[in-house]
Amino acid sequence: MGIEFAYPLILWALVPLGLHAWWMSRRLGLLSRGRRWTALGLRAALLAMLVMALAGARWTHQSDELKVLFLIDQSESVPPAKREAARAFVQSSVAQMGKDDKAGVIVFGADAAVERAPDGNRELDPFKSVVERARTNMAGAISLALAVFIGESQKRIVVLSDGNQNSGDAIDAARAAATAGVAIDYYPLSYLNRNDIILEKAIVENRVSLDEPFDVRIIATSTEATDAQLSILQDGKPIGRQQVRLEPGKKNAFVVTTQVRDSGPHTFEVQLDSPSDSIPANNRGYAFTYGQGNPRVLLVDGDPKPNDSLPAVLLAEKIDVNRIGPSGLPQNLRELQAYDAVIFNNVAAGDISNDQMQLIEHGVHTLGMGFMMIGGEHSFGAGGWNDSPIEKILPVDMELKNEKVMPQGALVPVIHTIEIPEGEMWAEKITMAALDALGPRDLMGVLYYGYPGGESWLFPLQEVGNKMRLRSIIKSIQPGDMPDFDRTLQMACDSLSACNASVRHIVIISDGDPSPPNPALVARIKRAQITISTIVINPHDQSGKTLMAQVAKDGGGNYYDVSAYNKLPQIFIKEAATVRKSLIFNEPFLPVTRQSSSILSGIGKDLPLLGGYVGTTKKNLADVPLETDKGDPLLAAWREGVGKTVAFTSDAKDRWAAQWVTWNQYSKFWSQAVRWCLRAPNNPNYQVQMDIEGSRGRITVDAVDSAGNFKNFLDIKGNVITPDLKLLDVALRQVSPGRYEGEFPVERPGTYMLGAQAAENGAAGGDTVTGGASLSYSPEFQDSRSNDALLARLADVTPYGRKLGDSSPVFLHNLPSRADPLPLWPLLIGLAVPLLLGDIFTRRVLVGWSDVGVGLVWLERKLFRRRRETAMTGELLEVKRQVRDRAAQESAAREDFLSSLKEIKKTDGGGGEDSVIDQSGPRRPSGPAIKPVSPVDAARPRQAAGGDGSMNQLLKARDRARRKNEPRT
Amino acid sequence: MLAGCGGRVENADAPLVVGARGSGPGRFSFPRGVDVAPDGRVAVADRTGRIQIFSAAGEPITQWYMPKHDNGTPTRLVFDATDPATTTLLVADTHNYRIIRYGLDGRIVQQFGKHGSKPGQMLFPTDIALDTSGTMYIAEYGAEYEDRIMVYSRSGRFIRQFGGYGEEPGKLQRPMGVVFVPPDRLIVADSCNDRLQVFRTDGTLLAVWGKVGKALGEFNYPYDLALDKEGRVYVAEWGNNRIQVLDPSGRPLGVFGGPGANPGEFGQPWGVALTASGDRIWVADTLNHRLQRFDVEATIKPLVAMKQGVK
Repeated sequence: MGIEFAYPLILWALVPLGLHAWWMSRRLGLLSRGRRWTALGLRAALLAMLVMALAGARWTHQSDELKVLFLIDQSESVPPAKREAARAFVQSSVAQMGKDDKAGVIVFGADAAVERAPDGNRELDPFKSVVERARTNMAGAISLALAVFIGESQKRIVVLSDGNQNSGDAIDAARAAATAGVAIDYYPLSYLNRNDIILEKAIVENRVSLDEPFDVRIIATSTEATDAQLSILQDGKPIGRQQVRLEPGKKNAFVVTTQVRDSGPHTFEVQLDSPSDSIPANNRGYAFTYGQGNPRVLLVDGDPKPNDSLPAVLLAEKIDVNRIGPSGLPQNLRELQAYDAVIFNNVAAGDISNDQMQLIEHGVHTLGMGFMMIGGEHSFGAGGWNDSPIEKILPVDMELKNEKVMPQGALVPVIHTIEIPEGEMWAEKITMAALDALGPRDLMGVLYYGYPGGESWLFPLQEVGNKMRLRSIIKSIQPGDMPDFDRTLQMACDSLSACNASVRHIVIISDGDPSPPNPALVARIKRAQITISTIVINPHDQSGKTLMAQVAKDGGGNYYDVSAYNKLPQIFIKEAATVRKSLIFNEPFLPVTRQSSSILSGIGKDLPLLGGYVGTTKKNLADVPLETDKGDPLLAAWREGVGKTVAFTSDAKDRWAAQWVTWNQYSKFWSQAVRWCLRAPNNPNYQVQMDIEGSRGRITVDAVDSAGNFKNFLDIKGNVITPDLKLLDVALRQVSPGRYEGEFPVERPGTYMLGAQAAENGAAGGDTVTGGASLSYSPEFQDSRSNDALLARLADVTPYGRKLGDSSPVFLHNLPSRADPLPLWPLLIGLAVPLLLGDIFTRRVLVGWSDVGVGLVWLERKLFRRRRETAMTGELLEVKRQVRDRAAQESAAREDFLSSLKEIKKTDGGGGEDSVIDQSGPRRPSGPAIKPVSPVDAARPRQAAGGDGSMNQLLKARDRARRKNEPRT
Repeated sequence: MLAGCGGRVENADAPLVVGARGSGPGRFSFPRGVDVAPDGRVAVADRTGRIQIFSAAGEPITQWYMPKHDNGTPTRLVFDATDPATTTLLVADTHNYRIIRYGLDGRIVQQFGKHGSKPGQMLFPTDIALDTSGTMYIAEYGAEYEDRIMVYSRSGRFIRQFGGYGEEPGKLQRPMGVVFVPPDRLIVADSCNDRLQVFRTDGTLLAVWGKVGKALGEFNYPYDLALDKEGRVYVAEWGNNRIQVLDPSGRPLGVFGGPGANPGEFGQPWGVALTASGDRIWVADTLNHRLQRFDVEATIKPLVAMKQGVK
């Protein structure tokens, strides 16, 4: 506790200033002793204050308050019993807090959250914060703790963890804590998983040849010598099971030899089981490889009646085909990578989730897969593919930009979603989905029941345009409870009847509880050729469903009973697409060849008649080898990122393409079209290895040229697609001749896919390199024991850090002062100002008894003027008289003093210029009591100084005056 | 005036506001049904599936949950003081197609209603009016196009029904409120037709009051009705967010409220009730998750005086 200085050297300035004060004291000989010492003291204090302020004086003191932040590890590696123990320890510690103690809690895993800011509550509430438990980032938690500590106090962090970090560096964070004077104690959540088998990895070559044996290598460790059963699945089917012996303290390697028959990726799932194993979560591993053979195509058929012509053609052309319905589309990239191309044959956007669309987009753009959309009434714009990830990768735009033909659809969603949880959010999502599926010339208006507006248009029926404005309006939707269908349906009917759209449609989403619509109104809507679809959500009972189904039936639309709300956006896309049917041209036409293309190679120009197509517009850089009679694209193709995509806007079945199916070039046309967009064959000159260890993934690419020489100075840029479909840029550096390496962060279990372009330095394009790796279980399960050593290092890094046991006192006030020093300059400057005034006052103003008397009179006049006549008592008059007498005496003395001075002036010949006496003030006996006296300018030399006669006279006169005053002081 | 809520001194004209959003005692989630017992106690049904009882000053006394509230929650409740021996509480358990009679301690003393649209079966009951003998006039709606008023004896025996779905006079679209006017009349809040209809208790239509709109004498989703001793009718208008006051012959006297969340304003009020003495009005201010209690003297008299002045 005390004062410290930021710039102590400035304090040396006190020495010359002290000398100055001493010197000045000698210059003030004219003043009385008291005034002289007062002035000197004030001046010295003033200078001292200024110097101290300049020197950065700060007040430091010890704070008795102690803040403790408990950092509790919630990651998956901490066994539940240990998590409970940690909570119990915190609870008991908090219960013993003293009055100067405050406790806070931070829970952490991959991230950290403040569960409780430091406070004096001796109860510990149940934890509410949710943190990502799949990793441990102790460093993040310590950094958060340092940010939470604010204000003056002693500060401790207590880490309750198993010490197994797999993200960040806690030691670095502890060093920062040490610098901030924060102590880190730890309460180890120690464990040793006995009998734990850990399957570290399964390794297989990145690419294998068909029907040739290759090895799957499995690396495993165990805490004890144990027997285990090793089983391995290849593409989901068991291919081997064997008993193996695991030895402790080493990496046990096992090899299973297998082969693949099909081209494309193959997955291996390895499992090690032992009845005595304590943690089964870390006994599984995945690996995958690509079989090099026939290309594989995934044909997604949107028609309930499958199209047999196309798969037959492809199979005949040695392209393996897997035909599925839209619901069978892979949900992850690893499965999708099994295919060299995906074909959507008349698939509606409403049947595919947005995530799946994104998978395809990544598969094409980054990983080089091919994609083809074949037309039909559910395809392109008519299928609601506007503004979807699929539209992004296709060579055609879903909108007709041709001004001559402008079919319009009109859609009115009626939104009553208040009855489901997060009804507002769903209202926004589904309305947005419907808007997305529409084209700019389509009409849309949205009806809902609002508060306080009642039945309202969120926006009235209008052209959708560029959608930006409508999107922002949709974000504001706040649908309320809708008591009645009649009024909203009437509003929808009025607006739709008045518009000239060729297809008009109403979609109602509700719980079916509003008062049912008047059947006459529904009939009127139907007569106006407006259709109604209904979606029932969360109905009170069957009657709500019955009503909604009946309205859809009477309205000529679809009825959906939806309990999985995440399906709603897709349903709205589907329903919105019904007004897009105007994009379908059901007129026969002869295709027109516009450009030569390898797809049309050897086919000739006389193509058979097609019965219809879906209108689209060519994108800028797309090739359009075939057009319709109206000049719209029939066949369009382009490169999209690393992959290629093809659009065929008519169909490939016996509806529009009845004459094509029997055409002798049908098979050639489709096999060439599919082959054009297939994934480029793997370049054998690149060997890719991807490996995941802990929280890092490592990519190694070995490149040779066709002569087998290392390829150096390549520019390899990679994209890693994470399991949650984020794209990570990875630059690969050359580390040795022909070898390139890069790293990427791994945050969650799942498959990480690599798509990279290897180009000669500075060249455009380049070879495509792909690879992948899986993290089969959370890194939390990679260790079979706690890491107490790391925790001990944390405590060592910070002074006063300790290991805590169950009974250790947590709230120890033994830390050095860490109270924030209080800067004193504002106080010092604040004091200096009155000191300066005091100094001037002391030296320049003489206050005597007469002045006090005059002051009293003035005060009395001010205060009692109005009541003077009545209130002035004889006593007051007496006092006044006495004061006046004194003033008269004092005045006489002063006259005496001044006349002496005049005499001195005469004898001195005017005296020095410093000793000018101001006599200009009024001199009446009862005049102002405070008179100016001679200013004594210490800064200038005084000529009169010295023991001469005039000075003696002056001193005598002053002594006389002082003596006259003395009895009254 | 010292109002009874937490010792706060209230402006004499300002309503007493009770409760806020929540599920604990004294809090509400969309309070919909409100009624006042002869002794001043207030019962409230909200979407938590609870019945809460408050003191006349708005302090929570007790609460209980409906036996079942997965399908939906009650919309209305009515104190039955027609039996001088015991006051009971009738609850229209709307989405369970039944009426439950509770003792004031929360004990079920009677329960009736069987799902169906035939006479004697029940759809979604919304409100109950009681004549002096305890006969119940129950309003109901449903997706079955069978909106109607059903008459049940005190013991729960079905007597007759009238109404039916439609827009024509005498027909109903979602009757949300019904009130008995001695000696033999019923006023029905025909909500989705935005009107009140006056029937004799035998079902004969006597009058149709109002049409859709915001002006005086017009309604927007009238949801609940209450009578004072002078026979004035208080209409909770869900869509207009106000209470409209009519004289006994249906002529509008004035309105109070309006959309908003300030004291004296409403968010889609579902319920209105008067104290037995007729000096206080309680409103279920649904969207604001609160009750409001108004002083009749301060709130209604100026409206009436103004109306008379205009005349």
